[in-house]
Amino acid sequence: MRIDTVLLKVASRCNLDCSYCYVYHMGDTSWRAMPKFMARQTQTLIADQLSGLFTAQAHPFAVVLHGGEPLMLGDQRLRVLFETLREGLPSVCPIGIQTNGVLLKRPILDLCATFGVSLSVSLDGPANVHDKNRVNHLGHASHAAVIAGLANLKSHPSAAALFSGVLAVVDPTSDPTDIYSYMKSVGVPSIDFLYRDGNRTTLPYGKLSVESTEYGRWMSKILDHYLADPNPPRIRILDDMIKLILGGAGVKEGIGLTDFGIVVIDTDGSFTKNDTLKSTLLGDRFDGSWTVYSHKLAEVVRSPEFLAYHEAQRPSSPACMACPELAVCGGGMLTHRFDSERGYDNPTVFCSDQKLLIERMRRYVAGHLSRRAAA
Amino acid sequence: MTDESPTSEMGLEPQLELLDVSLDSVALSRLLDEVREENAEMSRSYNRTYNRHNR
Repeated sequence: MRIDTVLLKVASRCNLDCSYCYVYHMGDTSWRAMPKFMARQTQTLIADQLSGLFTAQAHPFAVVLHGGEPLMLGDQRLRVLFETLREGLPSVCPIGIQTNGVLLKRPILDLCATFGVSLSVSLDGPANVHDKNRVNHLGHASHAAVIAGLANLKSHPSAAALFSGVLAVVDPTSDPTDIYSYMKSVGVPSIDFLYRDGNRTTLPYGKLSVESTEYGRWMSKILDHYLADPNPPRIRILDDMIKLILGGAGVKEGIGLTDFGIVVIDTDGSFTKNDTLKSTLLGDRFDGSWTVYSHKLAEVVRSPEFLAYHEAQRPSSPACMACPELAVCGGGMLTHRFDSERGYDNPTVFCSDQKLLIERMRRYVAGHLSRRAAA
Repeated sequence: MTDESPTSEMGLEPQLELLDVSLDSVALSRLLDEVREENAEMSRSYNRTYNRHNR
């Protein structure tokens, strides 16, 4: 088992209050007991333990600053955090930030450029789509502030290195043609579309039933535009699935059968499972009370409980094991497989959506390859 | 999918007759090249540790 992603919850609070957020609005309230920001001592211990993890597994991993909103630390606290992390972290381990984009201003961007930190920004689409859910604590829209932040990011001299792309949460009631056109107009280098969180007991927004295909149809339309685009951005979920169809490897969590090696360190220094599991009744906490103050990360990830958590992501339901598309679909994210009777031992709630999308991809790929062979 | 679904009103039903992409689909050609390079164990342009989104 190898860790490829260490997610640090450096801020437990957020300056936005997005209605669909799994941290604040899907039943988990652990954030209330967390310190607002990760303490200096916690940061120092983490940096030391990241060094130990790299030594133990002899393979690089990404460190992702997450929250809450990590940029709420402000540029001075971020500088200290970057310095502390880099003291323990070899340069082959990249540092990235997932941000809502509202606080993207020049001092923070300069700081990120200095320390080689990349930024992924949450942007769901044009204002009428984005602001349906992504609002502040007064219910005010955030889209204009995000676009201003993106303008600062794109005009920075180091923009190409800084800007890794956008994360867009799918609204299946939106028009995918509008979303694709909008993302192109903003000039994002890469997009990753995330399905709305939910599971087989609590259906994701927009899905009428487990068998319905709202997300698959929406994404199929994005696929149509993507494959016809003479100057396409990257779209990670589509790239991954098509590459798997072509015999290559996928990297996105919940796609394909490659293990996703993630460990999360919460704002108080406690080790947790994948934080998206907050949206299920089983939650994201280990039975053991592991923190950086009492345990070593390199030892935690070798423990039987951590290994059991890690292996739980591998699909095991009879339906998945018998499915001819398992190698592409991968069974979906663990959090999307949950139901209150069988836990995670189910196909993803997006099973029908993914089957529809994969079938369309296969037809495109077959057409492309046969034309190529005939040319 | 029922007729009441908002997406069915936007013409999102599978359009099988439109699935012939042109030979020069940039995205597909790019992915084919990348898979070929991966299979030849050349450097990977896109993996989970580098060039990634942050989830």
